[in-house]
Amino acid sequence: MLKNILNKFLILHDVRGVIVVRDDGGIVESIKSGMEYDDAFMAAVSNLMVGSKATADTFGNSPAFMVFMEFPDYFLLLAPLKEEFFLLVIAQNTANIGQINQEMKKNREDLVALL
Amino acid sequence: MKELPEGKSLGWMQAPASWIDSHTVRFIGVVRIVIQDGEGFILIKKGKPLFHYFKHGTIELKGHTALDYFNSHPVIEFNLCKYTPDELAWAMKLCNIEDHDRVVPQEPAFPGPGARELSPPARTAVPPVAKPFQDKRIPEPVVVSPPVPTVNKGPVVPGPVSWEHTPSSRPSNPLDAKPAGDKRSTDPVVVSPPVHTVEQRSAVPEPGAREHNQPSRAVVPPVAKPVQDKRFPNPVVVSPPVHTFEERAAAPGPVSVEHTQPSRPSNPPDAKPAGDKRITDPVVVSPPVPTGDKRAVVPQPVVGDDPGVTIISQIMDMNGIVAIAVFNDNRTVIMMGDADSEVLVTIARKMLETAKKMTPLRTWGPFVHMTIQIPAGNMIIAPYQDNYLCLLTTRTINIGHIRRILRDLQQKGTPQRVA
Repeated sequence: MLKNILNKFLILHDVRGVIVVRDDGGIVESIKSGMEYDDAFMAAVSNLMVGSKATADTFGNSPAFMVFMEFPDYFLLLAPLKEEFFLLVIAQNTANIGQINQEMKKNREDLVALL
Repeated sequence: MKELPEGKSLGWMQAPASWIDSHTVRFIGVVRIVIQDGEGFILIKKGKPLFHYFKHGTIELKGHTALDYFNSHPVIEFNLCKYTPDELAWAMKLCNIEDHDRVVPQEPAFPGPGARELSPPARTAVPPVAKPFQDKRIPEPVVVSPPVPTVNKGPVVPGPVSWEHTPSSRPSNPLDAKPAGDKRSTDPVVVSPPVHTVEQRSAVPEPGAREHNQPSRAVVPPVAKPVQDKRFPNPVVVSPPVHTFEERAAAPGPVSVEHTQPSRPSNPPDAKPAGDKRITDPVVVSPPVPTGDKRAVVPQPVVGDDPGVTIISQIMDMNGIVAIAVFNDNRTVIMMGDADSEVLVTIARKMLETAKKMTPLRTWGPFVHMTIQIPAGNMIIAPYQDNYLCLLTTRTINIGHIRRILRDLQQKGTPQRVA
């Protein structure tokens, strides 16, 4: 079921991977297209989560927030779902961020319900 | 009030009232607003609100009062309805507004006079609007030449944004204490990025100022509303080499880093979150940047003609930018704006460290840019020359525009002017 929802993201143009991830970097569910989740990638995700959490802590009582990280060819979009769960979308720079955001809004409740 | 022409509906949406100002620069038509059981509208002609109206039961609000009411809601539901010139003319007639400059359907990208509306306190040129009840401040529409990054430093954030920028030197005018209703932010943040306005806040009224300048509005009792801090930006024509920041009577010197606590309005302080710090130190950055309302924190170089600082100043002056920092691993090089520099840079460093850890792991190339969305706004981090740039923005900022500027900065080094 979770995969079905994640697939809604993956079918968006140039989205390469969608992951539900814990704040410690552990992957709950993932779906990918044209990329591999190797150890290096897992380490990167873990770093991102740890860094984001540390930043959130710096903000004090601020709730979890969205992080958009851009590289020359890819970007990452990390959005909070529920407590320690986050949704990480990996897409090429040609992907439509607005569309991804919209899909997040549409499916957030369903995702949260499944976690 | 008679029924206005229907117009062509562009769809319903929900947003703060300030959104309408900032996103209707080229819009001609009516914005139909529904708040609870009441309905109203804003008649707009190319970013220039011509008439505000709201009716709830038997209560009718017009002009200022209606606008204040719209602004008092963090989010309103509205429908943008596009008008043809004829429909606009008819609507203006219904609202008793004289149509001095007839609308031409197709205009060049940067049309002549009539581009936008704001409500300046004192303008000599009287707008071509027969103002209804209490609405005495439709100002002179002005041309803003495209390449000139002129800035409205007024806050844009309608919601509970803690980094709201509040001018530190306002003439003590009780009317400033009316936070909810006086916003006329018309920066085309999204619709037409290159066009910005300059808020010119001169303490001395211009000769021949209109009778309905700022003081005349002091009759409106100040209402302490926590959400918004609005002001009366004043659009002006800006010649390309001159970059105008908020003008102050007390900041004439060429370089002034001293902390001046200018006269605050006698309004009650807005309820702000803890992190809200106001800009107090005017830093004047040399000829291209005559005066600025910003705070220099860390090793502040006395900036003469340093193009880097000029660029930073220009970015800082864009609408919606709350604070900006240039930093590296060791120190903060430049800090301007309205935030705690230490916290800002600490957070930026943390996230940057994360990005740096990620880049060697993937073959995605070097880190380009990062945006962290927090309740108060956005934090944007990007490489800048040999350092990194950290921007704090309000929520209403056009991130796409900022990204484009950052990309330009990264590609061209230090451009002469931000677009």
